[in-house]
Amino acid sequence: MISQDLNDRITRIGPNTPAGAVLRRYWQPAALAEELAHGDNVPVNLLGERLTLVRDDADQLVLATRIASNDEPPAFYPAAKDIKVDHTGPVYPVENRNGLFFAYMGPGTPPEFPNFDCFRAPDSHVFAFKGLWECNWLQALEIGIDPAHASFLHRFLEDEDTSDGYGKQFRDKAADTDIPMTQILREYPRPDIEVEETDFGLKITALRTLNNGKTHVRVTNQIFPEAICIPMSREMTITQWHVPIDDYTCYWYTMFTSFQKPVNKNLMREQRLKEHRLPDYAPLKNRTNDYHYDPAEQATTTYTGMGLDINVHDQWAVEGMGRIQDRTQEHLGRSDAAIIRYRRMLRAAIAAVEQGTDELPMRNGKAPLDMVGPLSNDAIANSADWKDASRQADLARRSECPWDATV
Amino acid sequence: MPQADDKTPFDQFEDPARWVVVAKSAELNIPRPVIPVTLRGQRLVLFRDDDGELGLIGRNCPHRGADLCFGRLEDNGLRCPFHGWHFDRSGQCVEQPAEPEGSLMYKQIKVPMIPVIERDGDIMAYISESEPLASEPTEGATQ
Repeated sequence: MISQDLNDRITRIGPNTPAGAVLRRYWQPAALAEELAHGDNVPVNLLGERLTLVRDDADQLVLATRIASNDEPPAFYPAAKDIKVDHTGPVYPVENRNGLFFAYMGPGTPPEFPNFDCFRAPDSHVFAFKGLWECNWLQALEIGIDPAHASFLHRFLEDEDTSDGYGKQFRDKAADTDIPMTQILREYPRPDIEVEETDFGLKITALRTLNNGKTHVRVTNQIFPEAICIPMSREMTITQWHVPIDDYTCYWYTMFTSFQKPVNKNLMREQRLKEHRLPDYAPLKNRTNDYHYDPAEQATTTYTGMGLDINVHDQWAVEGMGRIQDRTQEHLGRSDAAIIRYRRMLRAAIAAVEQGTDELPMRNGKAPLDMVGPLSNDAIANSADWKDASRQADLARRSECPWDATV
Repeated sequence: MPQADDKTPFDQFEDPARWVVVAKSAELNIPRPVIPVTLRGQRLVLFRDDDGELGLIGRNCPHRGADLCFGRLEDNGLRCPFHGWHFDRSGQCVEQPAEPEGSLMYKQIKVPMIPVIERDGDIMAYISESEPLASEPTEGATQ
C-alpha cells in the first residue's frame, strides 16, 4: 500500500507534474506513420496536451499545439480540415523510427535513441501498431513487468496448435522444445523472479523449474520510463510503450521486431484491425460490452472467458482497476518484485528532476548508443547453467539474423 | 422483516432498518451466480458459493485491484483471474498460487465483507453501525 499523495505523484503526468516532468525527458511515441493518411494534420493527444502532427515552414514534421475545447473526449480524433494550430503553444521535434513517430516534449537537447533492436532493425523487420486503453499509464506499464500474471490471466485450459501462432503472443513452442508455451505457463505458475537494474531500466528474469532438472528462463525488460521489451515468439520481440493521453487514458504503442525473416506486416495489421476501430485505434472489446466475457468459455477454455487475444485480457485487468488504480488498497507480493523496483526508480528520477540534476537512466552520461538488445527471450536450460544458456540462445538467434543484431 | 434463526450468524436483527435489499434471489438463478452490487457508493460483488451460501465482498482484488465481478467461481469461492488469488464468502483470501510455496501472506489478506441474508426472495445486506442510516440526520452532515 502507498499513500494517496505518493500515488498521485507517480501517476499524474500533465504539464508541471513530477512524473510528467520525468516522461517529458524521453522520446514519446506520438503517432503511427500510417496515420499520415489522415491528411495534413494528424491529431495527437499526448501527456495531457492537445497537439497535431504538421509540417513546419522547412517541411519538417513537428508536433504543434492545436486549438481544442475542454470537453473533447481523451482520444478525440478530428478531421484534418477541422484542426487549427494554436500558434501561441509550444512546438515539439519529431523523429520517425521504423513506422513510429516519436516526439520530444522536454527541456534542452533531446537524448539519443538507444541502439535497441527495434531501432536498429531495417523497416522490413519492424511492424508498429497501437491501441487505446482507458486507464492510467502506470498500471498499464506495471502489468508488463509482472511475469507471474501470464500463468493465470493468459492461461489456456487447453493448448492450441502452435503452427497457427504467427503474430500472436505465447502461441509458439517454448524455446527449442515441442512444449507449447501455454503449457509451461499453466503448469508452472510460481516463477522465481530476479530483477536487476540496468543502464536502461530493469532486466527481469522469470525462472520456472521444470520437473526434469531443466529450467524455463524468460527474460523481459523495463525500458525507462514507460516501455517494456519482451519476447513474443522465437522469431519476434515486442517493444511496447504505455503512453499517456492524459491521467486517465493511454495508448500502447508496439514495435514488433523480427530477427530473421521480414515481418508479414499485412497479416499483422489485418489481425489487429479485426480487434480495433479507426481512426482512434479503440479496441472493439471493451468495458462497454464486458470485453465479450463468456462465462461458459471461462469454465472450459480460457481463464478470463474473454477470448484468445491476450491484449484483451491485459486491457480488462488494467481497466478494471479504475481509471487510476487505488494503490492505497493494494497488497503487493513476491510476484510484484519488478513493480516495486520500478517504482523506486521512478521516485528516484522524480527526485533527481526536482533537484535539477539529469541523473536519469539514459540521460546520466552513459551513451544510449552503447545500449543494445536488450536480451529478451525464452530458453530452456539445465538448471545449473540457466544464465549462460539464456545468453547463448539469444546469441544464436542474433548470429543468424540478416541485419546487424550483434550485442 | 428478517428474523434471527440458527442459520444467521449475526445478532443485529433488533435493528431491521439496517438491513437493505441489494438484489433478488432470482438474479442469481444463472449458471454462474456472480453479480455486481453497489451499496451506498461501495462497489461490491455478490456471489453464491458451492455450499449455496452468499458472499458480498469488495469488488476490487486487494492485490492490484482487478475486478472480481469477472472472477472464476470455483473451489467454493471466487478466484481473481489476474493472479489466481482465491477468496471465500467471508472475503478471506485462502490461496495465492503465484506466491512462493509455503508463503503465508494470504492469511493477512481480506477483502471487505458485508453481512448478507436471504429472505423471501430478497437478498439483504447489513449497513454497519459505524455508518449513518439515510433517515438519521448526522452531526455535521450539512458541511
